[in-house]
Amino acid sequence: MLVLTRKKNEGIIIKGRDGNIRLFLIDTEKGKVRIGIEAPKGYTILREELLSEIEDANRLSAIDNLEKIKKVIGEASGRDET
Amino acid sequence: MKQVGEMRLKGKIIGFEELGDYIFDAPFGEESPFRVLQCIDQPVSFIVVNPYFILDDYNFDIDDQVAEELIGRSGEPDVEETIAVLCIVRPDNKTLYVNLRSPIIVNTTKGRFIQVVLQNEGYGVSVPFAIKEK
Repeated sequence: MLVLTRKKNEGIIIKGRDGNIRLFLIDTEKGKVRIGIEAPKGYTILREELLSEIEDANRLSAIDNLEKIKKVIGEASGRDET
Repeated sequence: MKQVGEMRLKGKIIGFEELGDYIFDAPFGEESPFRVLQCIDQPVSFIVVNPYFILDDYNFDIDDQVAEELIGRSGEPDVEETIAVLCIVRPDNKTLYVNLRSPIIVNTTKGRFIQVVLQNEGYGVSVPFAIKEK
């Protein structure tokens, strides 16, 4: 991993074929860093922990025994809860 | 959501990027809000639900890139193309949880899907739910 030191109001450019990604150090305070990010079309900017959370949720949702689950869903579909 | 039946879909589930071919099926019947996305190559299936049976006002914007990937160059679906939105369900004992934060957008006409991640913080990754009476 490339590690760079930046001061407030300094930026970093990641140059790419589709355009540049720009990171900008807006502010730092008590162990927190505010970063501005600009990216070309086609990039989705996400907090890393959100993506991990979604990966985990997907893994926990993956079913290897479909027959068993069909029963659970069948019951849920038939329930009269609102 | 009518006339889904069984069809082949290509797309990636986040965390399962090595898998890309699925069968989309309606084993609970066409009227059920639930569908199944079953991987062709591995014993991996996902229960998915039509989120409009959970929330009336579920809505979000998709970016141009996703629209292009799903629909094609124009980003505008043809009149006859069917786009469906489904959310992955996680059954845990008797409780069902739904991931509203990263819905699956399906183009059933072209046989493709994309799992997107929404910026809307209000939609949870793991939300317990019950199906509303329609």
